[in-house]
Amino acid sequence: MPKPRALWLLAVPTAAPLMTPFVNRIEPAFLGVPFFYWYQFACAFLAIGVLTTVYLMTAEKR
Amino acid sequence: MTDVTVFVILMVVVLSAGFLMAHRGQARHRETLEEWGVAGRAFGNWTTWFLLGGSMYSAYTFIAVPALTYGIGAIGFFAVPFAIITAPLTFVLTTKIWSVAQRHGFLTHGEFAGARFGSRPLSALIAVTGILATMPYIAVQLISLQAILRTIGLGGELPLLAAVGVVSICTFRSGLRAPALLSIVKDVLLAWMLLTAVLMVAMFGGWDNTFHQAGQRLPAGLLLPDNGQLGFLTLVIGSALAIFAYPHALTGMLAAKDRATVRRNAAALPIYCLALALMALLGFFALARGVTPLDGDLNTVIPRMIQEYFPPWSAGVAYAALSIAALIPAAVMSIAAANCFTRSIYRPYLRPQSSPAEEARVSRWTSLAVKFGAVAFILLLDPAYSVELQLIGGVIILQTVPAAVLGLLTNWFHRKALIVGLLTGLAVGVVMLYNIPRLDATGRVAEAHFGGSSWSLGDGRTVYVGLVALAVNLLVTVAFTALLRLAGVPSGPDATRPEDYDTDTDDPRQRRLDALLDGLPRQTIH
Repeated sequence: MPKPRALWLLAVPTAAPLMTPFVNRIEPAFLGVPFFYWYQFACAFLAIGVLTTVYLMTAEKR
Repeated sequence: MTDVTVFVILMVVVLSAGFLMAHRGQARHRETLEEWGVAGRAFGNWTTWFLLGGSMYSAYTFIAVPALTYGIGAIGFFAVPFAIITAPLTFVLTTKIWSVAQRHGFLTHGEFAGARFGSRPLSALIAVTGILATMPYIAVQLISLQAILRTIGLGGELPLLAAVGVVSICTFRSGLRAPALLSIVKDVLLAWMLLTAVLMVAMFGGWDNTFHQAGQRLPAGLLLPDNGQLGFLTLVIGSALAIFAYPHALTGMLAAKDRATVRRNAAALPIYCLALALMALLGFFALARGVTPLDGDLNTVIPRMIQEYFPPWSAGVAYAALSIAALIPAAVMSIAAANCFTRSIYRPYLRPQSSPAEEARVSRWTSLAVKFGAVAFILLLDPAYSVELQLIGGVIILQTVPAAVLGLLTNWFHRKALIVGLLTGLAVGVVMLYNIPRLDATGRVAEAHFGGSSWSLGDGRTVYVGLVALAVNLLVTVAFTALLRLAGVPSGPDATRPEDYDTDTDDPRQRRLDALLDGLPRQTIH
């Protein structure tokens, strides 16, 4: 099976949560939650979005 | 008292429902290890999702992670990025191992590695490492359960033994179906608990106030210290890799019915990360409100917070959610450990002719032994030992990554090199852990050994021991493989073929090799 190029998109949600050196700050806070913490919530949503996209793009023909 | 009453009623209802369902299911299921151990590989999207949430997001996670943020702040939040990056990795790696396991009838990493690299000793070594790493993991689940029971005044041995006993019987009878059923109930209760928690934070000053006050109480503040990044990231990456080597994480995935189920589940897994992140933030709430742990045991912080701030009946629901969340992974882990024993030690070394029914029987009794072994462990020994062993467990399971995880991508490694690398990695990991002292609040050495898994580099930076040991392991494996190949030592035969890694259930190429090779009866595939 040729490797679908869409799989490379998965690098985005893999790398995003590891960017802690750049997000290690309080501001901008969201609903009182410091940036460092709510950034990871955003990463979880990003992961759901990207994985769903990749799933739809690579859905195996039945 | 309302909270205890609600808790006891819920536990009795849920566990007896599990017991009755297990009883009913008994007649329908054929007696094979694939039925008992991975539920005949027949779980659909929802069941798989609940089961994965139930086995990976355990009470230990929901209690220990907030305990960490309560105690040390931002570093304790490592569990969240770690959980998130497992999702894309699952999407790629788990579909591969699902296919090859489905095709060859594998239930464990050890079996896969043994077939991939043509080595029975390697298979047995991975199984033993898996069992050693899983035992203390079960023990810490039961410690979490004990922490909850103690907080609500049901301390002592009897409540713990009763809960473990009932779940053991369910598991003994119906295998992986028992924890799968309990997982669904657990998630409903857990959702209720998280909703209550969000309302609680809103009623007691909101996140603004919470972080403001927690920041003042944490000596290092709310963020990572500048020299804390390396330690944080190595811990995240190491833990994420370890998930793909832990036996119990595989068991749930192998129960999925086809590749699409595995992939859809990978896409939905980060929903659990949101729940985990919310729980982690509750550690700050507990700190801001000045919740104090029972007898200095940080694991009781969350149960104590629930006791003080939840309305009593909602507290009962929360205790039940956390208790069931401790029992499910204990059940799945004991099944996984039992399968490791049966498939990599019992069948190849003790009884090569064992029938599927005999395998199922051996696994049943082994799972029982594993669970009650863990109970005996925490009742007889100081619980602190379990936590230390769990720490060691994480480091040692990582050492099986080259064979069990990288093996999915390549068969280049030599079987002997893998064994030498694994053993070197184990030695390096354990020696490093042994030499980490535990410091008390004033910075003096409180205990000389096993004081954590962060190795100090001297300039204030730390690095996760597991990843260092894995690096050494890989280096040794690669070097020895190159040497052995130069010397012309033949590597083991690879029993898998490239196309095995992307076959699906209804693929026309799909022929069960175990049925051809071992004469096992062909499973009905849905």
